[in-house]
Amino acid sequence: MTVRGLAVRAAIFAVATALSIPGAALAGKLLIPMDLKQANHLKAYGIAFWALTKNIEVDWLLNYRSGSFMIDGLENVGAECRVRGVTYEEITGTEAARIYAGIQSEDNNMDVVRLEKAPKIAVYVPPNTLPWDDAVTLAMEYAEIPYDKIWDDEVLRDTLVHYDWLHLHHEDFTGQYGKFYASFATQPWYVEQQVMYEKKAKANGFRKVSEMKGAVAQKIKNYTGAGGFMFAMCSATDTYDIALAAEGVDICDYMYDGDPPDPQFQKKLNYGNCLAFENFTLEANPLVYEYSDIDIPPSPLVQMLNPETDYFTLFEFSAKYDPVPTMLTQDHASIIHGFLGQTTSFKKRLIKKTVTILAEKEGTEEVRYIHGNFGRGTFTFYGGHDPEDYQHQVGDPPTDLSLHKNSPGYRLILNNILFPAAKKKQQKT
Amino acid sequence: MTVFLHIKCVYFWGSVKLKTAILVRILSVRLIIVTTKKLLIVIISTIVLGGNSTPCTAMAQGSPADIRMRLAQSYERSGDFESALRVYSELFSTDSSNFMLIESLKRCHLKLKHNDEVIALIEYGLKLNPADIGSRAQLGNVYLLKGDEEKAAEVWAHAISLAPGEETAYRVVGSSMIQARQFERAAAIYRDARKALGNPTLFASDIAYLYGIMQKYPESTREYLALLRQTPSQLIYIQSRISSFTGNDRALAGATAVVEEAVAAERKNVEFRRLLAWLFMEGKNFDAAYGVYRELDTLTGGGGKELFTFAGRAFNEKSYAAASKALSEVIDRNPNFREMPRARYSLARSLEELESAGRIKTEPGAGVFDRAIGMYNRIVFDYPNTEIAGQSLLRIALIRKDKLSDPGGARDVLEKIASDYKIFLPVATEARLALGEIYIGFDDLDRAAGTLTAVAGTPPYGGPDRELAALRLAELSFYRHHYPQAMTILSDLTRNSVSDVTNDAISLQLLITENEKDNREALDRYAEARLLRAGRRDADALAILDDELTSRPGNALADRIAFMKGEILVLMKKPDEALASFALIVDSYPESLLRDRAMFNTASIYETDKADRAGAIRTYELLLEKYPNSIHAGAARKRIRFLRGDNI
Repeated sequence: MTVRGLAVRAAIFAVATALSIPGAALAGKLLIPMDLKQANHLKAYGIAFWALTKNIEVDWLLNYRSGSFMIDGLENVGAECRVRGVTYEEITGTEAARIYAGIQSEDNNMDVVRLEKAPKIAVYVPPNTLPWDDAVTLAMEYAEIPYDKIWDDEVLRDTLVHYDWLHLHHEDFTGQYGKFYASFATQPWYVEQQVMYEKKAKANGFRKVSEMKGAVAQKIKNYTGAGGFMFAMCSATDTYDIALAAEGVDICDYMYDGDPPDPQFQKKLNYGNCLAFENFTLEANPLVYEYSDIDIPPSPLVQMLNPETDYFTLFEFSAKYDPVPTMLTQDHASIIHGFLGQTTSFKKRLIKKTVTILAEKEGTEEVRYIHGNFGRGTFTFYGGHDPEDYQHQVGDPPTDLSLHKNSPGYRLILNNILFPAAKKKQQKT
Repeated sequence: MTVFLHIKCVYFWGSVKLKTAILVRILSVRLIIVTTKKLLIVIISTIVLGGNSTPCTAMAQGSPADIRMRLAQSYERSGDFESALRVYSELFSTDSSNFMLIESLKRCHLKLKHNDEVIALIEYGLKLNPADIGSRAQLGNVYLLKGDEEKAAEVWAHAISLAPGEETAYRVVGSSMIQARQFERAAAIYRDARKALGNPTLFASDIAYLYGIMQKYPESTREYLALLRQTPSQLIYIQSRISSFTGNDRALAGATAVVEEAVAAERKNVEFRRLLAWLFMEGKNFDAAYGVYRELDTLTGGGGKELFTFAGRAFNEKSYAAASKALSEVIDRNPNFREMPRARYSLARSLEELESAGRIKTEPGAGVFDRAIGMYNRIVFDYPNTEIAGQSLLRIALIRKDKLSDPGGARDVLEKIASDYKIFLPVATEARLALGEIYIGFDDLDRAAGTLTAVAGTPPYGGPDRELAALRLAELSFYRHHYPQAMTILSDLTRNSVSDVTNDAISLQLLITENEKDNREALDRYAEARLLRAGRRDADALAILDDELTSRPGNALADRIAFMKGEILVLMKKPDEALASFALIVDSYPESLLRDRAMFNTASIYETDKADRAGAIRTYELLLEKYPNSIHAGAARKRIRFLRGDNI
C-alpha cells in the first residue's frame, strides 16, 4: 500500500464519518462508468486526462464497474462529457461516499487510485511516413490525449528526461529494417527508409544503423531505470530486448549493414541485459519475417490461426495489494479477441520470472501482455499490432476508432497512459 | 529343359546436390538350362560389382581432392564456415593457383569477418592476375568493411586506373560501390566515366536511379531527361521510374521544375512535353497540364485528340475550368474532329458545372445558365434525334427544374424527350421520372400517374429507377388520400431493405398506418400540404398548416405539421418564426419523435441564419444534454467542436 493509497483511504473515512453527522452533505460527483453502460470507453480516458490537465483530480475506481472514474461534479466536466459523447452519471455526495465505502470494504476486490497529474507523453516515431498504422497514436488521437513525437536524435540527446511515459510501437531496434527485405526491398518507402536511417546513423557518429539503434535502446533502458514508464507493442517488444542482448554483437546480415553477421552471435547474446526475455534463439535467416523464437506463433505460421477462435484472457489481480497490474488490466471484458502482429504473443518459457504476466491465451504458451519493473521505472509489453484489425497488412488504411469506441483491446493501451498519473512524479537523473 | 541365363544389370543412380553421385549396380544372374535333342545353349554372364574394368562401372568416384572439395562445400552450405575453411585451406596448400579455391576461401573468411585474411587472399590473387578489376573492386569493399574508407577509395581509384578507357571497368567498380551502399561514390564514378569516354549520356539510367535513392530528385530527373532525349521511346519506362518519387510533394515539385526548364530550352521536344504534362497531372495541376497538352496537340498535329483525352480526365477529376478550356480549343481549332458531338456536350456540361459553382461571370441581362443552355440547344439543332441530343435536352430540363425553378419550361422539354427520344432508354427513363415530379407539382396527378407507371411497370419493382417511380406513385396515392393503394405499393418497396428508397417508403408507411384510422382529417390536410410543397407553393402550404395547428393543436400530427411549418419558414427567410415553430415542438409535444431534430434545426438557424455562434453552441449542447442518444448527436458534437475552434 503506497502512502498515497493510505491518504486516500483516510480521506474517504473522513467523508464517511462526516456523512454520519445529520445535515452534512457533500458536493455532487460525476461518475464515468466503464462497464457496458459506457457509450465511448476510449474517449472516457480522454476525459480523465482532460480533467487532469485542468488540475481536476480524478479517482480511478479499480474493479468498480470495470474501472470507472469519479470526478468532482463541475459543470464544465459534464458539458465536456456530453460534447465528446462520454456517458456519465451525476451522483450525490452521499451516493459517492457509499461507493467509496463499498470499494474500501475488505470483501470487495476493489480500490481507489487518485490520479493527480497528467503525464507528459512521448511517442517514438520516425519522421518518414510508413505504410502501416500505429495503434497507440491512433488511440491517443481519438481519445484527444496530447503527445510529443521523438526519434533517435532526441533519445540520444537525453530528451527523455522531460517525459513521464514513452511509447514504442512497430519498431525494429535490431537495425534490420523490420525484416521487410524479402518482400519490400525494392519498394520506394523501404529504400527511402534505409537511406534515411543510414544518414542518421552517420550523422550521430555510428558506423551502422544497428549500432545506433542499440545505443537508443540503451538510452531508453536508462530512462526506464531512472523512473520512466515505457510501453511497447508489436515488434518494439522483442526487438528491444534483442538489441539489448546483442550489445557489441553483429547479428545483421549484409543486406542490412553491408557485412555478414558474427557467426557465433547466438552464443554471444547476453540475456542479463534484457528487461523481459531470456534464453531466446534468434532467427538467423535474413529473409524470414521473424526475429526470434520469442514470438509465438512464428510469423510464417500465423495463417494457420483461426480468427474466430483467437482470444486471450486477462488475469485478475488484487486491487488492494497489486494496484499496478490491476490498473493495467482494467477492462469491461476479461476475454479479448486476439489480433496478429509482427510480434503477436510471447513464448511463456522465454519470459523472465521477475515479469508479471497480465494476459495470455489459456492453455497455451502464448502470453499477450506483460509488465515488469526495472530500476525505479516500469515497462509494459503488449503483443500484436492493432486490436481492431486482426491482420494489419503493409499498406492497409488506418483503423477508424470511431467505429470501435468500446474496444476492450484498445482499453489496455489507454490503461497504460493513465497509469503514470497515479504515481508520484519521480526525480530523473 | 530350357536354360535361360538372364542378365540384369541395373544401375541405380542418385545424386546429392549435383556434386556427388552414387552408383549402385545390382547383378542378377539366372541360369536355366534348356536341353534339346540337337542344341544346348548355356549363357553365362556375370557382372562384377564394383571395379573400373567393366563397362558397368563406367562412373568413377572422383579423386580424393574432389571429395575433399565437396566436403568443404557441404560444410559451407550448412553454415559451418570454420570447418569449411579448414578443408579449403588444406586443399589450397596443395593447389595454390586454383581460383575456385581462392574464391571459396574468400567467402568463408568474409562470413567469419576475417577481413585481413580476405585482403591477403585478394592481393595474392591479384599477383596471379594483376588485370582483374573485379577483384580490385572487391578489395575496396573489404577495406570499407574494415572501416578504412580512405584506403577503400584508393583501391577503387587504382582499379579504374588500370583500364580508364573501358566502360566495363567503371561498371564493375560502380557495382561494387553500390553493393557497399556507397551511392555518392558510385554516381561520381559513373560521371567520371562520361568524361573519360567522351559520352555525356553514359550510365544515365544508373546515375538517375542513384540520385533517386539519395533523394536528389532534380538531379535524378535531369538524368532521365538525358535518357529520354537520346531514346524517346523510353518515355513509359522513365515515367515508371520517376513515379517512385512523385508521391512525395517535394520530389514532384523538384522533378517538375527541371522538366519545365528542359521544355523551355527544347521547345520542339515532344516527349519532354509529354513528361511534363504527365507530371502536372500527377500533381493534379490541371490548369498547367492544359497548357502543355495544348502545345502537344499543335506539335504532334493531333487534331484535338491530345486535348480531348486530357479534357476527359480533367472533367472526371472535377477540374471543370481546365476541361472547358481544353474542349473549347478542340472545338474551335478542329472543325472536323471525329468526336465533335461528344466534345460539344462535354463542354456544355463543364460550363454548367462552372455556372452552378458561380465561377462564370454572367453577362448583364443574361441568366446564370444561359451559356450552357445555349450550347445544349445548338447540339440538339445540329444533331437531331441522336442520343447526344436527348442527353442535351435532359440537361436543359434539369437545369430549368432544379436550378432555375422553371417547372413549366422543364415540363415542355421533358415531354419532348418522352415522346421523341423514347428509343434512348436511359435518357427517356430519367426524363419520365423528372416529368412525374413536375406533374405532381402542377397538381396534374393523372398525368403524373401515367408517366410514373410507364417507368415503374408492375410489381415487384426491381431496379433503382423503377423503385423510385413506385415511391412517387405511392406518394401520389397519398396526396390523393388513396391510402390503401399507397400501402400496397409501399409494402412491396419495403421488402427490399437495401434499396435507396426503403427508408422513405417506411416513413410514409408509418405515417399512414398511425393516422389513417384515428386521425384521418388531419392526415388528409397534411397530405395536401405536402402536395403543395412538392409544387413549391409554400405560402399555400403554410396556410393549411397554420389552420391545422390552430384548429387541432392536440392532434397526433401536430408535431409534424409544426415541423413542416418551420422548414417552410426557413426557406422563406423568416428565422424568428421558424424558431418559434420548432420551439413549439420541443415545448409542447413531449412525446414527439421530432424533438431532437427540431432542436438541431433550431441550432442550425442560430448558426447560419442568425450568425449567433454562442446561441448555436448552447442549443447544440442542450440537444446533447436532453437527447444524448439522438441520431443527430454526432452531428451536433461536430458542430460544437467546429464552432468552439477545437482542432479536431
